[in-house]
Amino acid sequence: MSGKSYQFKIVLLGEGCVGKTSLMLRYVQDKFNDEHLSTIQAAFIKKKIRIGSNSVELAIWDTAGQEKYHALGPIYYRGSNGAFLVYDITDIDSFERIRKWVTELKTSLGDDCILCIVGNKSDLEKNRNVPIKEAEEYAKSVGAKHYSTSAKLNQGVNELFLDISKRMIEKFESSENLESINHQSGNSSNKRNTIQVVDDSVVQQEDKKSGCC
Amino acid sequence: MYNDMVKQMRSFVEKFREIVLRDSESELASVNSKHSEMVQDFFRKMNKYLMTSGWIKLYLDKLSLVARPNSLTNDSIEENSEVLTNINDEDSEKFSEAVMIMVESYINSCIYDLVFPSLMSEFEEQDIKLQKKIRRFYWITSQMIGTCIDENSVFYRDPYEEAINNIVQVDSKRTSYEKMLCITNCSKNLFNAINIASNIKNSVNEVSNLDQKASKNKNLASADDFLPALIYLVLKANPTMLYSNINFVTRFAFEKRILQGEHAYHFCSLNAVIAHIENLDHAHLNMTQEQFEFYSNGQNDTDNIGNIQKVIETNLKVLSELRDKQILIKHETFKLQSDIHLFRELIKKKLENCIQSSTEHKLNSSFQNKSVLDDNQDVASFNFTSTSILVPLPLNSQ
Repeated sequence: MSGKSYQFKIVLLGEGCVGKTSLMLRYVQDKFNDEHLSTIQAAFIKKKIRIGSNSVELAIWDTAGQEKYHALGPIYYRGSNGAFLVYDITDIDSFERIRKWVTELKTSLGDDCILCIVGNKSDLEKNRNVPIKEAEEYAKSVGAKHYSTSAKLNQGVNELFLDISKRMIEKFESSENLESINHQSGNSSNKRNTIQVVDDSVVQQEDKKSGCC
Repeated sequence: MYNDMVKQMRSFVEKFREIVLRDSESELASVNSKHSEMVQDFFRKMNKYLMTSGWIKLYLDKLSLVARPNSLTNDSIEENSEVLTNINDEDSEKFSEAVMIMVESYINSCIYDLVFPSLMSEFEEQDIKLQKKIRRFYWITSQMIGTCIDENSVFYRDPYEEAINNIVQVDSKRTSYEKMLCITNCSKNLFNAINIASNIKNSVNEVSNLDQKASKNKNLASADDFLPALIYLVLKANPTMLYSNINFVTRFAFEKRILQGEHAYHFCSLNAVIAHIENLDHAHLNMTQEQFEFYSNGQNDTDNIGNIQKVIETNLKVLSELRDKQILIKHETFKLQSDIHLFRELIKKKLENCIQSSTEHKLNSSFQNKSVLDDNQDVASFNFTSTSILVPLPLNSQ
């Protein structure tokens, strides 16, 4: 009966206007309408769910999507167990930006982070600019999973969060096993928490590709 | 277990003090991070101890004892004990978290004086540089940052100023928990301000074009709105010794709390804001390199004119906001008036119905009812005349 309890951090990445926040709100609001009334913000939201006998506490971190804040990404996604890379299926640029985040996440978090590439606004199928095949193939090539959602019509949102939770649990369990082996051999890794101030060169690189939203 | 923990904490503080005093002679910058490693080690040990020993469950029913720590308390711990009393019996995880906060607060407040000065000297240069930098950015307006927040607004001045107070207070707190709490409160107040700002905008739009049924009423502030607002707030508040304080938290707070939870989110946001301000350049403010340099160098001749212009601009802004406020009030007044009117009609109808039905039954009581109707009509007509006083004069459009 009493299963394990997990705590996971999910970070939401995606260009402004792709509907990151609506996605999160849709997920949290739908089931807990009353609870939601007390929240005044939609940037950090906690939600508890049950998967089988396990309880999972999701902490969802929203990030600012504007291009000029791209360099601040690492501060937010540090230590996260999962990441949603959200793009707008009608906007090819927003998909291109996903690639940048994927490579960044890969280099800084390695394989510890579950990646989900989410094509939002699937209700606007007729205006689709990002071929679904391309998106799915790309997701496969980087070891991520691709999802299609519509925050507006509430399609695929619950499935998305449920799926990532399951995958995070799997990941957690397998890494736990690895860690216990490591512990036996006597090396405990201490991650240091220093502030990462991103150096100028990165910022300038971002600025060349000036985009606005 | 409680006594045991206290003993452990005391002996750790003793040991730590010795080591810090011994190290103070050698002037290495890395000394502080070595100390932080020690503290972190201790936190990890304590946490493991809490998680593994089955004491928590046993102690949950003796909560009241734990919630009233004796001789060694200070203010911060007392504050935290309030958190404890609310704890659900089943939730031992929450309990251990709260205990860890207390452990952390105790250790923090004991070592604060030992550790903070060396932190201060380590980050002195960075702190001063940042403050100077922010001071030089005095000319940045909210439009340049791209936020809807404006410090002169009449609508949300209170939460905005409260937020500034919160962030300035960070420096005065002596434990990392309290410091983080200040940051979270600051964020919450700022979120309030953003919500008010965006709701005002919406309702003004709604009122001014009534035919449109745009009712996006509850717009919650997202990270897209929040980060620029926080950048603006930090630029305006210019809190002292940000680097020292942030590094105190990152080094001497229980590391799990910096990575998880709401406090962590707001703490990270502040980190992000500082990183952004450090790298702030012309592209971030939607201006050309020349403009940026022109402003940054603060040419004196144009400065005066610029200041005057700024004053005029802010005054205009205040005026237009007052106008918005009046539009809203006018709208509300009309609504109230029509509500009263409707109410009067409703009561009248109800009474008429009542009279009709009662006259059919009892001839005697009809007389009484009629007098009630008269009374009500009086009240209603009084209301009607009184509301006409409230109707404001039509506004002159600018």
